[in-house]
Formats: sequence, structure tokens, C-alpha cells
Amino acid sequence: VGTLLVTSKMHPALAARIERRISQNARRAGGARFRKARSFSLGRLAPLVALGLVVGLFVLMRKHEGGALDARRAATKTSLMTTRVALADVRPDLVSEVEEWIQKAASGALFEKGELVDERLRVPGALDEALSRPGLYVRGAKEHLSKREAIADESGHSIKDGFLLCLFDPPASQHERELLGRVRGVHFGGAMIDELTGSVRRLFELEAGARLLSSSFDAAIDAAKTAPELDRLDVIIRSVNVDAAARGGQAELLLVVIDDPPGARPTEPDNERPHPARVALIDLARREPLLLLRRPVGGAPLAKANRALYAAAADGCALALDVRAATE
Amino acid sequence: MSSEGDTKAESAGSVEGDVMTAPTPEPFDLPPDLLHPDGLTRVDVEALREAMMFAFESGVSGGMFTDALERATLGPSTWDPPSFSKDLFVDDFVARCFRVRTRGGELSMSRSHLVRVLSSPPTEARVVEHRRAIARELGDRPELRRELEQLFTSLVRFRSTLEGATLGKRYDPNRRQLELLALAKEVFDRAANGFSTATSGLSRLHRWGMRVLSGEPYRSLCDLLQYDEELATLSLEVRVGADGSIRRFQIKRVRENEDNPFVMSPIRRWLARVELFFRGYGVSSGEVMARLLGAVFEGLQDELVWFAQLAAECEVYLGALGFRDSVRAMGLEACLPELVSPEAPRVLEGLFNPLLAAHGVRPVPCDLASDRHDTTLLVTGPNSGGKTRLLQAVGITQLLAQSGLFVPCRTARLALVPGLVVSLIQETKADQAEGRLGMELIRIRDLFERLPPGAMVILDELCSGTNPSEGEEIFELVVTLLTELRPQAFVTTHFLTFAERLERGGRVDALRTLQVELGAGERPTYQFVPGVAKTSLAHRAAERLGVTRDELKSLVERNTARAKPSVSAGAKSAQASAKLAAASPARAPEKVS
Repeated sequence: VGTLLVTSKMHPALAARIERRISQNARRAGGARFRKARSFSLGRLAPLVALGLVVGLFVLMRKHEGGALDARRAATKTSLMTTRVALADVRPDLVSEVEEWIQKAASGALFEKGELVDERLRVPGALDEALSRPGLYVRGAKEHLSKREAIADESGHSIKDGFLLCLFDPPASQHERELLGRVRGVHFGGAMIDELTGSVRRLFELEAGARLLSSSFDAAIDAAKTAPELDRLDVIIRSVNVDAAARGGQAELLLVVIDDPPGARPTEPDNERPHPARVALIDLARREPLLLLRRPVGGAPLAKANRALYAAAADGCALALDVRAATE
Repeated sequence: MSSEGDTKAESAGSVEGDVMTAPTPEPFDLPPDLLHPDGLTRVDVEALREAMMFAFESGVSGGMFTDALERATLGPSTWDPPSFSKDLFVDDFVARCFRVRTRGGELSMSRSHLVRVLSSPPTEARVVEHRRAIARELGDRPELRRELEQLFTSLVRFRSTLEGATLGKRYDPNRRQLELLALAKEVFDRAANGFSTATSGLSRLHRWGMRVLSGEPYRSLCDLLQYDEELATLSLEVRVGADGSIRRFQIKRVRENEDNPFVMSPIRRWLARVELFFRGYGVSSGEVMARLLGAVFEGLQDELVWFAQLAAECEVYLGALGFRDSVRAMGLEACLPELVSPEAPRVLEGLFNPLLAAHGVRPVPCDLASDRHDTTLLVTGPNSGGKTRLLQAVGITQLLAQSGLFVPCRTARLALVPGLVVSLIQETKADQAEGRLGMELIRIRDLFERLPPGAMVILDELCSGTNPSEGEEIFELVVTLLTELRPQAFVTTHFLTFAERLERGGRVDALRTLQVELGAGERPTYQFVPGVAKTSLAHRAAERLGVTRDELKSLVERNTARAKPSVSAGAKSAQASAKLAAASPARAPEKVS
């Protein structure tokens, strides 16, 4: 019976006596019978065994969780790869270029030389022909669009609205009934609006897709330590309209509406208020603006009962008619 | 004086021939027995080993050493202690005379063992000579006596520490066990180093000690004690400020005593505790030490069992030396006697009764000489003349000489005897079946049944319990037949006429007579001269003790005078009681009303 009480320097006889005295047999034989000694018991191991079991279970659980997390991570990466394949044709620097144009327009740099209507647009049908090219649309407050870092957030709030609809498919007149005939569809889910404006994609859709192409998204997946973190990344991937993003990635035009509302209180029931707006149409392929206009927004001829619901859309529609009028 | 006698004693011992042989090299594993040249194992080794382990582990012993020594065997002896022990007051003699005084005070191991050793002198002369040689060397060499005293002190401390763990202050078990091991080492060291120059049987202590010192258990013992004293050495640096207070305290260097086999690394020490925990022990450092202590003690057990026997034997010699010291302090002498053959003359010069000395009375030494040993010596003389004290002194002297120890004589020359029968006390017992004469006759019968040829017989006032004429017949019968056993007989008597007739008649060949010498005014000088006394001077004793006609008559008259007033007072008291009884019936109804 070996024991740690015995050292290599001890005489063998002494070592044997020490081993005999602490061994179970010696205790039975009388070696240490007079010393208060408890018998060896497996019960003494119980706390240690229990502790070992807890630790083991914890380690197993962590290992299992780690395996599950890795599986989830792999699935997320697979999903990402699939999405990236669909977005393979998106120009990597398109978003940056677009945001640069937007910032210039919002900050007023593009408008320093005044309004602009490219002569090519003045040709009848030329605006419609231009709008049929793949393009991007964003509308937002000047305050946000003039800051590069705020453009992505602002674009998230920009949807296809009455302005875009009426620019593509203008009403016959600014009469209330005509305007309402166009903008009602916008407020009731926009069932037709995407069809009518199919060549233009929202800037947000492109930005959502482009976000998946950046290496930081891979790093975020790798850095995820919990399943909820991976869930959040999965949601981001799944929320991307891949088709729209891919089409946005092919954009040749950029249509920007910059609202510059004054700081006064709203004057209309739908919280809209008359304000100036800038409209810019940029030829991304040729890297030049085609249209730069400043027009007031608000005051569309709507009955008081309709303004509460349709004022914003109707005002946008009226702005679109003003833009189209400027190209004639 | 003693050296001359001792030299002669050595030669006399060698004359014995059959028992005194040239010393042969002892086997190396003999027990450290100081009483027997062959090295006897007198204690129950197995029982003692078990008891010592129990006491070491538990601290409870129940008088282990005392029990072991009371059950210890003694060497062969033809002496029968009941035949003389009580009459010679051996117990009292040992208690008062065989005291061991050391620098630490008076120490004792086992008085009963001492009494047993003295009461059972060895049969073989070579054993006696072995003891005499040790006593002589201790008496002649004070440095050896000091060593033996220190050895005895260590043994007594070991016994008291081993047996007295539960007494007094509460001991830490490990500390107590370490103290025991330290005392054991002290004993071994003293035995090995203190007696290297001894030439007598004391040299056995040196050989025993050296044997122990060369063994593994002793080395382990030293290592463990060193481990307890020095696990590591710390070098400290203490910085003191201007106000004298310590500003900084820093350990500069730590050096573990790595050469010691008990020293382990800190991690190993910790793991050893964990191991003990899983083996069912506690986890304190004390548990580790307890295991080591037990293992070391177990290795020493075969040597530790001799401690009880060794301590008791040390006490025999140191007690004898203490006896010699005490008599010298009274201006008396004690010596180792010269042992001669029974045919040689007996000489006891400066003989005194040690029992008197032990009780604070300075005895008057006397000289006792006879032409040969196997004689019947009739001692006569007045009462209180010292006859009985002389017989006691002779008996004790023979007892001590047979034990190889110092005798109460200035010079002594005597022969060993195969037995001793003493009849001094004639006290009456409540349950005795016979009267005084009957008991005396029973003892005479018993004497003849057990007495071997050549033994010593001491009889005081034989047959004094009956009328002189009938007593003398029995006396003559006893003395006449005793001579056929060639005893060394000492008999006192007041049958003066009969004694004179025996001496003159020559019917007893070996008869010798001694009488108490009387000095001026017929007072005894407590010396003894040849011849039979003419008178017992009973009237002298009666006068001395106030038993004369005039003194007894005055006592009678005094007692009579004392009795008269008490009788008259008793009569008056009775009359008063009668009056009170007569008055009581009349007064009782008054109390009720």
C-alpha cells in the first residue's frame, strides 16, 4: 500500500511501518487500534463524486451547447452564402457611391448652381424612358440625409410613396378626385405601386443586401456566442429581399427627394406641413445629375375630410406632377 | 575499608570455583538486565509491549509499569520470604533505607519489586558476585553512579509521562508522544555513552545502548525529533524605525531541512492530508504527525519494553547506595562483605541494626565474631540489652550480603546460606488456633519441615511461653537436633541456668555462647562477649519501666481515690432522679390544664 507519507529518503523498515499503520489491515491488526480512527468509507467520496458529476454534467452541457451553436453557426453561414450567391452581381461600391450623391444633394452642394433639367429629359417621353431604367429611390429629411452615417437609418423609413407613383403614372390633373384616385392605392397596402414602379427599388433594399456582403457580417457570425445572437443574424439574413436587393444592385439611376421641413408646428390634420423639397435624379452610370429641382410641398387641393388621410400622399403626388411639369 | 574487603571478596568469590568462571563475550541481543549475568527477561514482554502501545496511543495505562514489575519473575532462589520477611521488617527496611535521592528529589519506581528482589537472593554465587561487582563499581566511581541516577531519572520521567497523561494539565497527544520519544532517546543515549568505561555488569548498558543506537528505529527516532524541531530555517530581515518600532519584516531566505527523511514538499504535505482524509483520518497536520509518531514508536517497542525492568534494577543499586549514604550520614559504616566458606570464621565488625537508624535512633555498633559459621550461638543477657536488635541486624546483614549489596557493618566476612528462618515476633492473632506455646511449637515444626542444611536460623526467646522446666526440655530438643542440619543458628534465651548447663555439658558440639556486656551500674553496653549471662536483670527493666512495688502501690491508691468521689456523685444523682420522678405525676395535669 503506497502512501504519500513515505519519502524516498526513509529507511525501508520505517516506510513499511508507516504504510502498515495507515493501512486498513494494520488498523484491524492493531497497528493503530488505539488511535481514534474512522474506517475507510465510500461515503467520504460522495461529496466529491457529486461535485464531479455536477462539473461533468456542466462540461457536457457546455460541450453540447457548443456543438449546437456551431451547427447553428454553420447553418447561418450557409444561409449567408446562399444569399451572397444571389447578390453576386451587386456592385460592391454602389452603396457608397449612392450615399455620396445623396449627401451632396441634401447638403445642397449639387444645388449650388441652381436647378437643372437635362435637355435630354425635355424630349417628350424621355423622362418615362429614363424612369424605366433600373433605379433606386429614397426620400427623407434633409437633417438625416445630409449625414452619411444617418442615411442608412433614414432609408429604412423611405417607402414607395405618392410622389414615386405619380412620377411614374401621373394623374391627369391635380384635381382632388384624380389625386385621390392615385394615392388611395398607396395607403391601402400599395397593391399596385410596386408593379407600376417596378424598375425602381428602395435604397433600403439595396443596403440590406449589401450589408450581407461585408466581412463584418462574417465576423458577427463568428463572434456570436449564443443561439439568440445567431437567431438575430438569421433574421437579418432572412429579412433581406434578395431579388429586390439584386435588382437594386443593378441601378443606373438614383431618385432622391429631400424634405426640408421648417421647425413650425404642423398645420394640417395629418401632421403634414407645407415645406420645401429638393428632387434630384442622378445618372449613376454616367455619374451626372439629370434633374435638380426645388419645389414647395403641401397644399394639395383636398377636401378637409380627405386631408386627414391623404394629405401626405396627395402632396407627394402634386410634387411629382410639378417635377414632370418642369421637364416639359 | 570497602575496597580491601571487596578485593578479598572477589578472590573469595573466585574460590567458589563451580560458579565463578571467566567472563565470556555476551551475545549482542541480551536484555539490559543488571541483576543477572545471563541477562534474564523477567517481565512479560508481550503484555508490556501491548500495554505500552496502548498507553502511548491513548494516554491511559493503569499502572502498567507497576503491574509489570509486580508480575516480574525473579532469578532462582532457595530463600522463602515468608520465613523471615515479616520478622525482619523487610518492607519497612526498604521503605526507610532504600531511598533514591537525586538532584531532582526522591524518586521511586516500585518498592514492592525492591522488597521481592531483596527477599529472594540468588541461589548461585556468580549471580551474587555479578551484583556485588556492579555495587562495588558504583560505590567506587561517582561518575558512574551519577550516570545511573540520571538514567533512572529519565526512566522515571518516561514512566510518569507514559502513565500520567490524564493527570494534571491536559496534554496535546502529539506533544506528549514527542516528549516520550525524546525521553526514550535520552535513555538510549545515556545507556550508550554513560557506561562505556564500566567494567562490571554496568557495561551491559553500554552494549545495549550501542546496539540500539546502531539500529534503524533509533535513527528514525532522531530524524523525527529533528523534523519536529527543524522543518525549515527562515532568514529574516527586520527594519526598525527611529522610535524603535518595527517598520518592515521580510523573509530573506527559506531553507528546508531536505536531508531529513520526514521532510516533504509543501504540495506533498497537502496531498498527504488529502490521502489521510480518504483513508478515514482527519486532515490536520497533527494526523500526519500522529502516523509518523506511531510508526517510530512501533519500531522502538522491542527496546522500550526493557525500561520497566531496567528502571527497577537501577532502583535496587541506587537504593543500596542511598542506604550507604544514610548510614554514613549518621557516622556509621556500610560495606560490601567478604564472602567466605562456612568453615571460615565469621566476622561482623561495626555491626548495627539499620532499622534503629531508619527510625532516627543512632545504634551502637558492635562486633560479632565466631570461629566458624555453622555454629549454634546462644545469646543471653538482660532484657532490653540489645539481643533482639542483634538478631535483626544479623538477619538483615545476611539478607543484604546474599543480594550482593552493602551490609550494615564496617567490615564483614560471612558465608552464603541456602535459606533463612527468623522467629522474632510472637504476637497474638485473633484467629490463631493455639496459645502462645502452641503457636511457637507449630513454628518449630514448620522450621524443621523446611530448613535445608546449612541455612541460617534466628530464634528469639525460644520456648518462653511455658514453664521453664518444660520449656527447657523442648529447647534442648530443638537445639540438639538443629545441629544435625549444620545451621548458622542464633538463639536468644532467658533460660540462663539451662544455657550454662548446655555450654558446660558439651552435648552440642557447635554451641557457642554470647552474653550482653554490662557496664557501670550493670547497665548494658550493647556489646557482646563470650559466655552466659548470670542474670537477666529483670528488676532493672522493671525499675526502668516503672514496675516496682512502691510505684504500682501508689497507682492502686490513686485509682481508689479517684473512684470514691465518682461513686458518691453517682449516689447523689440517683437520689435527685428519684425525687424528680415522684414529683412529676402531680405536675403533669397542671401543664394540661
